[in-house]
Amino acid sequence: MALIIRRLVAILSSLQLTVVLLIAMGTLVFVMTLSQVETGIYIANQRYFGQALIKWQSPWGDIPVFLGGGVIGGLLVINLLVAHITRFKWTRTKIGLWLTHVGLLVLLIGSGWSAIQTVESQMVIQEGQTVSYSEHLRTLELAIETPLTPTQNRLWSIPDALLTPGQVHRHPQLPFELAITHWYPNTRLEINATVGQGLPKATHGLGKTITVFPMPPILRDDFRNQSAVLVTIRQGRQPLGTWLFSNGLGAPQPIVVNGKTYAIALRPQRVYHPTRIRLDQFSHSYYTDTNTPKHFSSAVTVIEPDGHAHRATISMNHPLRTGGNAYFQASFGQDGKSTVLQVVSNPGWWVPYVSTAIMTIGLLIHFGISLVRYRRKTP
Amino acid sequence: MPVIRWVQQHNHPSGHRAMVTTMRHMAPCALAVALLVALLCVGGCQSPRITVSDVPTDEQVAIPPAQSHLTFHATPPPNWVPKPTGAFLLARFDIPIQTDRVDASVSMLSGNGGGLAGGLLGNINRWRGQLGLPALATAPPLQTVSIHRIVYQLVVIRHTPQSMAVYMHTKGDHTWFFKVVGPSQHLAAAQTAMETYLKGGQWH
Repeated sequence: MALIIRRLVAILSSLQLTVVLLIAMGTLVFVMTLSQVETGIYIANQRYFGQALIKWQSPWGDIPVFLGGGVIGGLLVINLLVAHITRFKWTRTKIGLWLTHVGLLVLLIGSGWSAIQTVESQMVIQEGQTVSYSEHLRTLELAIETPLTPTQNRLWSIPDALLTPGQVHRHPQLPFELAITHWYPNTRLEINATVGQGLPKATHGLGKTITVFPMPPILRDDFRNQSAVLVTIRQGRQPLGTWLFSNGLGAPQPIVVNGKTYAIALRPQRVYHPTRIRLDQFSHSYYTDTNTPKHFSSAVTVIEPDGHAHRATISMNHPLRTGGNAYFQASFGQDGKSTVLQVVSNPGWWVPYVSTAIMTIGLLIHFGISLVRYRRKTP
Repeated sequence: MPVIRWVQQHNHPSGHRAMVTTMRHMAPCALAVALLVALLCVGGCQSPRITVSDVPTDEQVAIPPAQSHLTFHATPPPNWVPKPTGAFLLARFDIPIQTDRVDASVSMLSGNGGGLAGGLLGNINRWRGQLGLPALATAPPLQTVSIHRIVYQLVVIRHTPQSMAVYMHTKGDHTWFFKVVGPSQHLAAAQTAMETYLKGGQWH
């Protein structure tokens, strides 16, 4: 047992492992760069860094072929930690090296943590509108809303990860339960279709006349799949009907239960912010005789949770930072009267700055000590 | 054999010392690995769940991006008779031509390509089905019409007794359909009426 542990420690602390892991990481980044040409950055990132193992989809099932980027990064951290604990000796002359490695560890661990914690979403505002939420670009939610006051709703949000067929969702505050019968990541919806008579259909709501044709999901950054879900709503054991919800249908569908109206919609997952943003004016200009934007900016009013309001301008490379979020000018509506802001919540934004500072100090100390030692030895 | 070696080390005073040394080395390593896993799990191991929150009503907040930023405004001719609209119809009219009536409709659907609009072939086959014609395997080449610098794709489906013409305009992720359906002998007149309607319209 001791031998196994010692061998394991020897492997985990070896320089060979460091080299192998660095080569593996470089290979992964190279393959991912090629892959993102077809799939876009988000999907490539999820495929190569968001999973423990990279799998090849074969006719016989998914076959793991390589380690995921997160695992390789984690192994690098463990490699560095174990090497330090077992091989490096704590002496005054090595304080620079120690600091450099601490900085590297902060960078590796902090980057992993930051990647998990970062939330990116988009906020679309029309001129004159005040907005308090942004929307995820990739994830959807089945949103159930009922009015509490004229200005406030109660929202139950079921993430799309839970919309798998066979699942039944209940909540103590909801007088009904939702049984998911079908989930389609991408669809073509046809009204009064002459084909597809055997396909499952809604019995109530907008979807009664719509046929759902499943489509393979399209993996591109600039494409939003039109997902759809068929849900049977039951009160107790009594089924109330089956509804079709899709992010292509737009408006929510009202369902009345016990005299109370619940508006249900499948929509991009929302992130509500305590700080509200009003778009006062959007302005943009193009390079002469082209459709290439030269400059675009949003004059906004930021309304803090306490009601205090102040004006700000968001433009390319000049984000607004407030309420723990950074608001970047990302795009604008084709009518030129609306703006699209990228809302980034990244609690680990300080990681690269702090880790680089620690590493710089460590290297300066290390080279300083070496220089002094060299000067002392040289007559 | 590791087990025999472990027993030998464990029973031998020097082996026991080696074991203790190894364990001394291993304990901080295990602690470091456990800390790393715990740190990443704090942020990364949250499973999806239903959340409940009180939020501002949508009247206070934004129009979702699923809705189009582009709108079409036009005043129909006085002889066009408005008809009730449906879930996807923005406007619907009866155009009186001679003693007959031609159905005109304006609809806007999201999901260009693989989306709700059904793709070009899907739409053409749906319209052919409405006229009682069989589906096509491939989409026919379409002519384009420019009306006030706005380019429309034009689908004309002729049959008896009814025919159809659809003017399609795609902008971003949305497609507008301006459709006339009626007796085949009035199709040309209906097309003219629809083009006049489009000429008088404004895109915002």
